[in-house]
Amino acid sequence: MKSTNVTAAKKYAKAMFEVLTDSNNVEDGYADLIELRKIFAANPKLIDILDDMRVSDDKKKSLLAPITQNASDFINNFLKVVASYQRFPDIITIIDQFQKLYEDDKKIVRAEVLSATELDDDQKDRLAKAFEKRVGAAKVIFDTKVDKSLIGGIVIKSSDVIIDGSVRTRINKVKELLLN
Amino acid sequence: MSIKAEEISALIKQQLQGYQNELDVKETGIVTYVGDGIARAHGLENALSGELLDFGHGVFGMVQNLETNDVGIMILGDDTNIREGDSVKRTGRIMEVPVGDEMIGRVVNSLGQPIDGKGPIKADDHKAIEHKAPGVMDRQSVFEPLQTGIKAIDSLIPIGRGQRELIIGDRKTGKTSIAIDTILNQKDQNMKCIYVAIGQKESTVRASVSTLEQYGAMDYTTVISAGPSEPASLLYIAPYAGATMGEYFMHKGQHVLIIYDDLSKQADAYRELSLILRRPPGREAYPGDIFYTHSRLLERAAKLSDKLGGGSMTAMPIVETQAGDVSAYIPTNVISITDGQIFLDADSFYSGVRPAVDAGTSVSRVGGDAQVKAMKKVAGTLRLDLASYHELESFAQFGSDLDEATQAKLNRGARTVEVLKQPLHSPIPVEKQVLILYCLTHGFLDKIEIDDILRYQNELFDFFDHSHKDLLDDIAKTGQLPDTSKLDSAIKEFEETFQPSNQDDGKSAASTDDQQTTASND
Repeated sequence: MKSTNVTAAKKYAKAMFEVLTDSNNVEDGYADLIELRKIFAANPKLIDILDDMRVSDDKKKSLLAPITQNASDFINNFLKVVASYQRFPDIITIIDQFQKLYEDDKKIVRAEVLSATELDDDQKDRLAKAFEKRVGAAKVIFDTKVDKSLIGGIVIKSSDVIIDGSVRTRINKVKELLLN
Repeated sequence: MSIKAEEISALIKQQLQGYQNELDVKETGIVTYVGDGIARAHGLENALSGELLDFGHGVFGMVQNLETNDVGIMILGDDTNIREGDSVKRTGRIMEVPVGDEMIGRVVNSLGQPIDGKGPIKADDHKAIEHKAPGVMDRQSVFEPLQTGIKAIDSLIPIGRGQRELIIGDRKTGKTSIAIDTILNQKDQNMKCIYVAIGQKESTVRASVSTLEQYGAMDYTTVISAGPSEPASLLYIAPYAGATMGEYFMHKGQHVLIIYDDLSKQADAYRELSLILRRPPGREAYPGDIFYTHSRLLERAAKLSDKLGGGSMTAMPIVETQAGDVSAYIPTNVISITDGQIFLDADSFYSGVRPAVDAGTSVSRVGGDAQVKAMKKVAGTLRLDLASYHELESFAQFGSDLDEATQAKLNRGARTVEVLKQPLHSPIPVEKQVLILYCLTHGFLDKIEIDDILRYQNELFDFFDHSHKDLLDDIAKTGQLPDTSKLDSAIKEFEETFQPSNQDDGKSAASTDDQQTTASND
């Protein structure tokens, strides 16, 4: 069930991205969608109600009114399409997929950085530059976390690659080497 | 025991020199589903089909399905420590098992790890479990015999080295016994044996290993066991692991016998995996590639060309039928892949004809060329004799007067059936098989009571061992039948000493016992 939704969400995201590229509105659309995602993520009940067959269409419309009133045509159309195909449960997945496409296009790479101690801005900057070079990205967005169990060094996790330069892993490797 | 700190630290220093401080870059995925021995993972965009994945804490998986959003993985081991959200790493390798002389005499699991408690195995090498079978130019025709030591098989369904001969029959008809007896008979035949037990009860495997040990067969045998309590993935890969271990010896120019016991259980394990991986089910709910699973496995058995060292791997897959139904899916598949089959009949098994080989439906498509000349001569008419006997047998039951020719045929047939009987774990060397079949086809047995035939045979073997060893050696060495006049006179000489058992039951029973003890001493 879950995987098929991702497949569908990818198609919606791709269509939206193409529409926005054609109308040269990618940046605005992206910003709007991110806001929209925040609203839905903050109100999970909203999705349940919008997906409920027992709630009349008028009621749903009035619920969405605060969003639609000030929103662009693009967001309005998007919500209409989602409503008519009953894809509200997948709306967050769709926006996530859109974000992925957007970032791929702009060569933005997100990565989680684990370090043993808090990194200062200079370290972060240098790390970002080095990582940008390595993966060929235009911009890197780091999500930094502190993990004392690393002992030292850092671990970078990005989509499906892990770059592990932590002291913990090195010690484990030495352990394996000595045990064999 | 003294510990010398200096020596140890020097050793550690030496080992640490090999350690290079490199960044550990790994491609990973996130487990989104785990259960029933399979897992699904997101990411792993570059994973290859069949690649080995590392789940951490010593558990590995094999990539099976590559789909749009995730990959389906079969877990090779215990899945209880794997959780949703865990990361799984690519290793860039494919599944390998240890191979080499160190494996001989050991009992291992499908991953090549020892389970016999005899300590770790220091293998010469590791080889991938999936390996492409030798091609057309790498092979040659089968011509050397593989003696099973079982009269009914060596005479009627001869097997050659490099052949694939299926053993098929209902449950409890002696399929495994034939396989084990064949292994026992490979002693001093320059053969390596591999016995792959797939889904066999651990107690059964234990009993088989004990038998092999008792007869000294573990000196040239490796046992691979994937028990019923192990995950289906291990049952599925067990035969491939066995084939890889066998191929190592084959490519070194040696001869290998490999037994897959049994492929119907492997097919069931693969069906289970495939269904959980949501592959579409086909006939009998087996997946679409079940034929390929078996064909690519059995194709790896071969007789290599002389250029490649002339090694061979003979495969004896076993398939279990349900109520004698050979037209079920797996039996028909494997019958069509192999070069012949030994069909075991439940009815004759229960009526005491053991091994219960059904001469009518059993065939060997390539083994004829490999049969020794002497055996070919004495066994030529055997199949016909048996067929006409079984045909007449049903008529004879009406009990009317029969003409002499028919009587003779019936007599000969009954004796043929009797001669082909053979007790468990007592393989007979080919020269002695030739001898007793010679007696049968040349009418020496016609005047012997049916109940006496087994005793006659044992005493005859004894007599020849003591008085006419040269004749037996001659057959063994040249493969040709010796001068028939010499053979005839020797048999006649024996017959003069042979005491047919009369009404005195007590005496004959005692002498039979005597014979059996001498026979087992051989």
